[in-house]
Amino acid sequence: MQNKMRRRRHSLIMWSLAVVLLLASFFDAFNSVGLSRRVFADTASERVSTAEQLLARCREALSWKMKAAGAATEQELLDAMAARAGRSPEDWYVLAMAKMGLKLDYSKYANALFEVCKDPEPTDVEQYRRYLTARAIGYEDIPGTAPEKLKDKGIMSAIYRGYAVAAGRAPSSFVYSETQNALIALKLADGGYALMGETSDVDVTAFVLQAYGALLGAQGKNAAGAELMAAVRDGFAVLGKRQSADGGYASFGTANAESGAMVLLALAAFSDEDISSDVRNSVRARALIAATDRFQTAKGGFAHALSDGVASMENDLATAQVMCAYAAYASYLKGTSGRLYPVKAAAEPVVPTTQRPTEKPTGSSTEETTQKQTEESAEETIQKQTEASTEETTEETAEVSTEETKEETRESSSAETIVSTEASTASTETTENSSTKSTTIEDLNENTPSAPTEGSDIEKSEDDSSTSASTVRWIMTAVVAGLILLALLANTCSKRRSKMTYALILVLGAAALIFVWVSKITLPEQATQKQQQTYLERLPAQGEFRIEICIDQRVEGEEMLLTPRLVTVSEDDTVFDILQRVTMAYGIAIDYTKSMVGTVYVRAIGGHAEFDRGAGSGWVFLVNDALATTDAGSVKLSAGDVVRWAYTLDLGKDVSP
Amino acid sequence: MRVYLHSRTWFLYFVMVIVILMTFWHPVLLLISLESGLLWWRILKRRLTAGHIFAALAIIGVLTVANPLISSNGATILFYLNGRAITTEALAYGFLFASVLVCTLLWCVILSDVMTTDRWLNVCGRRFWRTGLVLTMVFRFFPLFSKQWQKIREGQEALEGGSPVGLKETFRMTKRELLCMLTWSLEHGFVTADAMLARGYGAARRTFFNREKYGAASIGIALAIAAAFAAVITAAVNGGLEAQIYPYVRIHMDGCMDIVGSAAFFLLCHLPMISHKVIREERRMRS
Amino acid sequence: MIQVENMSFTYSGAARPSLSDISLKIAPGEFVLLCGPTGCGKSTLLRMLKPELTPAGERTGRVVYKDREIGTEDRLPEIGFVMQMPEQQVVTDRVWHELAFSLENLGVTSDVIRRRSAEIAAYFDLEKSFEKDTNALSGGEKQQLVVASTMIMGCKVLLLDEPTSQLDPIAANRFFLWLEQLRREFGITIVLAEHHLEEIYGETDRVIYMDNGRIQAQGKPAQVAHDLLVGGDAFSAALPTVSRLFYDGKSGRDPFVSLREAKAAPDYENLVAAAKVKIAGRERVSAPAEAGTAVSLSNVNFGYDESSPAVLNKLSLDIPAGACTAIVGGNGSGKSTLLKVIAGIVPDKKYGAGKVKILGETRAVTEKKKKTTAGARQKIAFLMQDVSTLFTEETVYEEIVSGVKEKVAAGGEGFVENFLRENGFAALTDHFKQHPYDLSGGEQQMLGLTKLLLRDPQILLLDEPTKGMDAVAKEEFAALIAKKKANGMTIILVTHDLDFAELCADYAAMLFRGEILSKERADRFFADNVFYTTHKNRALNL
Repeated sequence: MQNKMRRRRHSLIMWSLAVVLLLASFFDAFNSVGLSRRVFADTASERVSTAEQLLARCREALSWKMKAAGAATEQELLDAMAARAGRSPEDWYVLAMAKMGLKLDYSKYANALFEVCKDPEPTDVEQYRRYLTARAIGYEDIPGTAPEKLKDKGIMSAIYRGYAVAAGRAPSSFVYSETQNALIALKLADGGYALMGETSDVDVTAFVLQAYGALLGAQGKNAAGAELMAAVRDGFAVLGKRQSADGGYASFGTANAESGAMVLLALAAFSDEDISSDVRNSVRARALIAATDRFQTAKGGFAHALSDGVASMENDLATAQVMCAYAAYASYLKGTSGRLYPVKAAAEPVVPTTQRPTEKPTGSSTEETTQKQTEESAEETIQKQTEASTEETTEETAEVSTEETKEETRESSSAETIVSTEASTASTETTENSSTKSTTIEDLNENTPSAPTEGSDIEKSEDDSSTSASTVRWIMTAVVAGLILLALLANTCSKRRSKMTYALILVLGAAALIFVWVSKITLPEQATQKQQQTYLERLPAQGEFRIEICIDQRVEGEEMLLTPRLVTVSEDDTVFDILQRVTMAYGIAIDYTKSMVGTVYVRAIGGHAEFDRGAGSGWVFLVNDALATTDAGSVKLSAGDVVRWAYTLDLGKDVSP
Repeated sequence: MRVYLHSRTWFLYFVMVIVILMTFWHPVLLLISLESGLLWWRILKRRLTAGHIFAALAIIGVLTVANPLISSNGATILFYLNGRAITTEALAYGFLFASVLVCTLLWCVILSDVMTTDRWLNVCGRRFWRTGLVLTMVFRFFPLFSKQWQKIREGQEALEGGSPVGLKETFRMTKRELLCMLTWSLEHGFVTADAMLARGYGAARRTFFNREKYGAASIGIALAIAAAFAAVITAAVNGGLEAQIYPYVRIHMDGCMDIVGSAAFFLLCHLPMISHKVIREERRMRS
Repeated sequence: MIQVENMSFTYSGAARPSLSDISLKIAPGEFVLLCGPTGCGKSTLLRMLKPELTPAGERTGRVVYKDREIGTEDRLPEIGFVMQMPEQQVVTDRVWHELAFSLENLGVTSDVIRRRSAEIAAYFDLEKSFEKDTNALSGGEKQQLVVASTMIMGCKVLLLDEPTSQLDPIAANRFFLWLEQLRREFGITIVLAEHHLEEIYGETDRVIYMDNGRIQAQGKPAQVAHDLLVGGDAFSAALPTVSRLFYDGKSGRDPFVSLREAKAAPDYENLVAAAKVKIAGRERVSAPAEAGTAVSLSNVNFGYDESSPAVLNKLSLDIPAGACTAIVGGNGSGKSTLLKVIAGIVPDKKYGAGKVKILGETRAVTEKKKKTTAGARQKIAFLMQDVSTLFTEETVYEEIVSGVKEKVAAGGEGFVENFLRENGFAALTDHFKQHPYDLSGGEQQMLGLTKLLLRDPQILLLDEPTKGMDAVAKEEFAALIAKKKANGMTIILVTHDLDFAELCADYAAMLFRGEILSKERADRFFADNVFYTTHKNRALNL
């Protein structure tokens, strides 16, 4: 009897242990599926930190260049390089600076470039290169040059043509296929590419892959076709085979930085949706970065090759190309586009400043006209944006990640806004432009989508545009029906069941169902939201102005919920209205209460709630660095105000200066 | 009658478990407490009916669905309902809250089952004999008052000619019954007071009839419970057992401290069950 | 052992003294019976003997216990006191705790308590119910528990103040037997104040008859009985039936005090014959002609919990109109449930089948009666066991007029006083301004009846109305019933008190395990029964 009891007790404990362990492990798996954004943010943050490291290297290299050129600021350097715009490898620096997201004024450089383009007999490659550089720094097509014209038949021109076509105005797919077939035709037997001969060259192969990446990004996987995908796979396979043991690449026997940079650019040219991970993993990216790091000298620049295993002599081209590669790869890691040259042109080309008849703004009439112009152009830009976005959605349905499209529209829209405001010839506005542009790039960096954790294979189902409001409604109906059923069953099984309880359950259930079908459901990823964002960032019309807003949850090591950006608001918008609009546009949840008298109190933004970090913690907002004393629903703003929503830890004392 | 486990040990056990449950809203702890609670359910010869499961699921479902409607806290927005954001984190919070509620309910039912009136008296013991006496009288007079209330209601119904119809009538009747009940209990309280006086209440310093002895098992298990509780608290203080819902759902389950804390809680919940004498005694009490 | 010397006592604020010049001596081991009409001062005298319970007031004279004077500040756990209501006297929730409670109060150690409670449980056969919940005990068991927990203190004197008034006769019987056992085996002194004298009168050593705060007669039971019967005192109605029945003032013999004694007498049969003649000679109001059926039940099943057996089992009963029907039966036979079913007061949780037909109106058994519109004449009035459940107002007058305000207003000046006087409740007029709870038990019953009768019912249901009544009050009550009967009211009486049932009922029915076994004319009913019958019939059955 004792033994039986003991055995039973032991089995009891075993059983319970097993159950608990099983459930815990299941929970762990559940956790790793990552239903919540940024769960196990470690892996995502890992990527972000690597990107940060890369960008840090770029900055170091840039500071070397600045010292070497004798420039005190980046702007000085840029303007200094403008003298040689379009004619020297220093273009690469400009590309790198643009990719790094520096807030600079590229107008001088752009004008210089434009002048150079007046050169009557450029080679194809030169022409394309200048055009692409201009696009990269946000300036539009130079009139008179049609990228479709192809004179040379060499591989370099084919590559640049591929880029240009991808960056140009949406050409017909015939042009795409013609361009990419031209490139594919140049594929060698081993799958790689070379300037001449039958042995594939690392640099050229990488360059071709970059062009493939641009073409893929412009058309989408479906339109690009299987041949292109096969070529991409083969190309990466070759690069993978050619990778040295230490991770770097050699060209004609010498390990050099440029080749590695080109391969890195090739990797960055594709997003995660374009190519599968096994193709990408043909090249060991980490080792490559580590190898390339070794080319960095003590001063921060990069050497072309190592002498005695040490990098000692800085090389302009090497530095510039590595900077580009790092900046591009950093962008890729953060989930934004890693291509140096943008793809997809804006709807209409606009001539840069020097071409337009300049009229000094004298008196109100010109202001009116300029305002009208800005109004019209603002309207046009909105229209064009919607056109562009709808075009994009139709052509990029294969892409699951909508971040790409967001980024593209943002890039193009920022280009639009930049250029349209250019027309009013206000220098202040150009700084605004660059700030918006740079902020947009920073947006892309900051607004990290849920980068899938390694090994997980979930689709971001909630971002899927196929989830429509009615699906959500049906789901909710199903949930409510399930609950009603449960409640009825529970009531039936209970001892004291009365008709009242049944009636109550049915009445409440009916009310819930009515509520579900009557309420308004909006999905965060709908086109209206994209429009909201772009609408917020448009140029102000009459009665509107722009203010800067940011939401800072003040957590160590985390980026702001909403980095500072300019939004267009009208005169009667209160701070709370703006907050609501902005958070809805950027997918941030706010929890607020409206009292009966009409005052609003914001309890939580983006998951950071009041009292989460102590008794005095909560959200306050500052207007022009002055802590607000009234509620957000009663403060109105004026042009140029800076609104900052900050999470304070002691009732506002630590955020106000 | 000799009791194996002292009432104060039982009381300590339940208090520790419920306190941990309510302080740490951690899924692993909830699962452990659910599992041991169901074990106790079996030991106490209670049946887990379908009705219980339905009720629990209904509660959890309703609360999970209701929380996002009232709180828009959270980083991941699923959709907007009438302008309010419905976030995954709010759903998770609702679910966790409801689970904690259901587990606590389960344990409270177990507590009320195990802690009989005798046990409550022994928890008060000699030190708090006044509380113990008040508790005993409450246990004694509560059923009596219920019955008396029933009698009063019958009497009033008989007088009025039937049960009340309509809300106003019912309200009026209930008010009268309440007043009658109060007066009746006050009046008859004198009799009880007299009876207590007649039986020597206040004659000398009151002692306490202690029917339970602190056996080795009681002390041992009580110490083990305290140690396990301290272990859980230490693990929590050192960073384990963290279940953060806002802003992102981040539930720690793999860390060393988590495992220590969970293991300590597991031990804590199963401590009285380790001794088969305790189980036997409880089952015998409920035959 | 106890000596009372010239004791006089007046309650503070009272006009007249409750006790006037009482002197008595109680020897150790004596069984003393205190009897007398309500308000004679028995309870007050008993409380004088227990210092903890002595009420506040003016006191002259002294009480001496074991050669020591008792002051009001003394504490004497040696003297035990048992009161009327068993429910209120039980303090704790468990039997063992109740036993231990007294000893805990005295500061006794745990070991001693354990031993003492164990041994008293063994002696009183409480072992099985040692762990039981006190709420689950019956009234008689509760009262026994109270005595046991008093005895556990080691009492030498036991004072009992009407301990069986709330118990039914069967439980009362058992209680008295128990008392006797205690006295026989331990020789404790018992002072018992009682109304219910049938069983206990013959067993006592001494009877003290009090009236108006004075001792009117003292001595052996037979002697006091003789004095009372000779004097023609109204209280003699309270004497045992045997004493009254077989007494004739002619033979110098003392009245019998027990049936055994009577049957032992040589001329028993002659006495029986004489008694029968006497009874037959008494004018007996014959039952009226069949006036129809007031209430009729046919094949009624009724129960409370689905899992427990039915309380009323295929019950069929016809209650004739304009007559008084007594329904008798043992404990648990379902009498109260039957009345509730007739009145339509059923709880929410019940099950049953069958119909009740009341004055032509049919109603399902399980149907809860809803309140009709105010002013409509209520057909049924139900007087429950505990009358105090009816009282909700602050003064007696308000209590009387509550609910019938229109009637009182329409009746004009003095309507209430006239009504009271008509029904023999004139005593209530003195107490109009008092709180209902301040009235005595009998007066409370009068008040309850007044409230019911004011609603002019056609059927009156009475549930144990004679609990705690003395013999005089019983007779008055019987007279009231007779008067109401004459007015055409149907009366259904549920009682344990068979003597009273015989006194006022026309018909009697026996309820046994939920079924009506027999229903016939009352006198024939009781005459036919052998065991469960009145004392008179028992005495007259040869």
